[in-house]
Parts: sequence; C-alpha cells; structure tokens
Amino acid sequence: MASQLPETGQGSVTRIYDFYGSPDADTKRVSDLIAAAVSVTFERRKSADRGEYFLAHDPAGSELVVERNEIEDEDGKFFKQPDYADSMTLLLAWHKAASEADAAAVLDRLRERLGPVDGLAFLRRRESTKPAAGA
Amino acid sequence: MADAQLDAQGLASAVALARTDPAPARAAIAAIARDIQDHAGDPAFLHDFWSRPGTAAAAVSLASVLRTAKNAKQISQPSASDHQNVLTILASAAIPIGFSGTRAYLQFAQQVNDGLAAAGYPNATVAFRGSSVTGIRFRTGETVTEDNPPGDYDLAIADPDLFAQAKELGIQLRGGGTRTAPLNESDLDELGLSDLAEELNSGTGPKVSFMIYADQNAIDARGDNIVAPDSAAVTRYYDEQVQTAETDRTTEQLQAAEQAERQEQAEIAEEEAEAEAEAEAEAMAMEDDE
Repeated sequence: MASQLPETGQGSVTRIYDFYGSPDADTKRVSDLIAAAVSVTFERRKSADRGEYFLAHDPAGSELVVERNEIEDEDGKFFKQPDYADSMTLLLAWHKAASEADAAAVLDRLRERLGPVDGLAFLRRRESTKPAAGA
Repeated sequence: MADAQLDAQGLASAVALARTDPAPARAAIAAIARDIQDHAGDPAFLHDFWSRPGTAAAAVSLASVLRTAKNAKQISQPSASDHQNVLTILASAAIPIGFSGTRAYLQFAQQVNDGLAAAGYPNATVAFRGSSVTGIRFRTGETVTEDNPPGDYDLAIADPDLFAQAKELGIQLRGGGTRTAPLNESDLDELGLSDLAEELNSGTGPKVSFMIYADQNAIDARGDNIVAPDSAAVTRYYDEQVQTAETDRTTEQLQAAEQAERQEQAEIAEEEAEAEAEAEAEAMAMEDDE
C-alpha cells in the first residue's frame, strides 16, 4: 500500500498534529469506535519501543494512530503524554498540506466527525511549517 | 573476547592489504574464516566481532576484494576456497529479520543515513533493536521469522547533537537521561525527521519507529542490537560493485579486441597466402606459355 499522504509541490509544507485522549484503556475498542465514526480501517501494528498501536489513513490523506498512553520499559511504567495521564488511550491525527489553511480544514472536519465518539476528547493541536523536501 | 577483536582488526588490515599484496591478505582472510567457523555456535563472539568499529565496512568489501585488478587486468583470481572463506565470514554477519538480503539491507541503511544527513545529522549511527534483532516480539513473546516478519523496525539513532536537540525541545527522557521515550510523528517533526520517517514508512514493508540515544553505549545498555553500516561502508560496497562490473566489462572488451585482432591477422595472412599463391600460379602459367 503506497502512502496516502498528499504530495506537496515546491515551497513549504504544513503539518498539523491533533492529539485526542480517551479514558478507556482498551485501545482496540477505542480504535473500533473511531473507525466507525470516520470510516477508516485500522491496522494493528507492534513495536518494541512504542508497544502495540493501530494505524489508519483516511480518504483525505490524514494519518490516525491509536495507542496506549501508559507503557512500560526497563525503567518501569510511564505515560507517553504525562500531561494527559487521565487519558489511557491516545489518538494522534495528523495531516500535511501545502498550506496551513488546507491542513487545518481537513483536521477540523475530522474533529467534527470524531465528536460523537464516546469518551474521546480533543487535547491539543501542534502545527509546523517547513520548506518542502527538495525545495 | 580478545580473539574477536583481533579478528576484526585483522579483517580490516587484510582488506587493505589485498589491494597490493593479495597472497598474505587471502591467507589472513582464510584464518579469520576458520576462526569464525570455530565460533559458529558462539553468538557472544560473533556479536563482539561484528560490533567492532570498521568490521561491517571491511566485510562489505570482501566480496570483491580478492578480485583486485590492475590496469584492467585481474591480478588475483579468487579460488573456490577464497569464495568459501568470504561466504563463511559474510554469513556470520547479522542482518535484521525481514530483509530479503544484503543488498536490500544496505539500501535501507543508506536511505536512513541519507535522511539523517539531510536533517543535519551526518554523523548519527543507526542500530536496529527489537524483534527484528532478537527474533521475538516484545511483550507477546511471539516468535518472529522470515515468514512472520516484525511489525516495525525499531531504529535506535545515536547522535549527541540530535539527543541534545530532543532534550532542548522537552521530549521526555528515559534510561536515566540517556535516551528519549518512543517518538511519535509530532516529535519526529520537531526534530526535523518527518521527511525521513514518511519516506521510510511510505512503502508496503515494515513501518519504522525511532528512539534517540545519547550514544551507542546507551543503545548497548538496552541489550541486543545490530549497528547498520554507515554511509562510507555502503558507498564503498556500491563503488566496488560498479568497479567490479567495469573491470569485467573492460576485460571482456579487451578479450573481444584481442580476438578481433587475431581474426584480422589471420584474414590478412590468408589473403597474403592467396595472393602469393595466385602470383605463383600466374608465374607458372607464364613459364608454361613461354
């Protein structure tokens, strides 16, 4: 499967990252709810460092990652997002586009569609604009 | 582990020596191959051997080093035992599970090296951790094999500048402050690694996750890992592949030219003989007429 992320032309590229949290610790259940709300199919993946997570791309080209907030390594348990320790499951939705307005519009629409997902709360947004690769 | 260290040093020396003095170089390589063979069931020895600086770089040269060429003529013909020695050494090298072979592995390593250089970290070293190295998926204990490849390649990047940048950005640290926590896509963007991550994750193969370490010691402290060849090693491998191909082509061209020259000389000789025979026949005919 090739990347569904949109290619941007020369110039700059804006990436926007929206973080959501759910008190539900069952990441599979949360990903199923999100999948139903925004019509995506999540792929279950495993990483030694990141732990188990669920990855999906929506038709607009946004990427969605659902994962546990609390994981464990040799040092013990810790939260990936310690500022949001009430959120047992995290959703990171991000999109890149040639302009900030385009990226924001896509993620705003996604946020509206995620509204009905039980327990899922919007936490924060981060954005960055950089020269496009090869520009 | 002094033997492994000596073998690693010997391998690098032999590769350098092969260019000028192939006979002692191939003897040294044969001795190292015997030692590797003797330690085939000793992963600690092999790990020690391959983790020595320069070993991977020397090893990727081995396939062609005994085909040393000078003035387009091969001066050192690898024998069957040379091939076997090289294969013995290369076969003991660690390649993370999931790669189809050395070429695919080196291409991936070069992609990561190039991406890190483009992001401003040309001296970063890359190591594989996790199930692609250990063969066991973390937490589940599920065995990873070639038919059941790992989900993600867990890349450990060691670079003091990149690590300092992560600290400055406030990215969470673990391991007593010697490494970051697992990085998400937003963290990678802050570190200038988005383009690399997106490039690596755009294909159908395993996805790639990243963690930044202060240095290689911090990676080693977490257990088994495979250090990927650096840019110089990969470049040397490809240069030698090209050089070998060019040498083969040049040799073929020389052989073809020699063959053409021999054929031309034969044709000239034949024509001269025919002309001589004709002249002789004419002379005899004139004598008969007289």
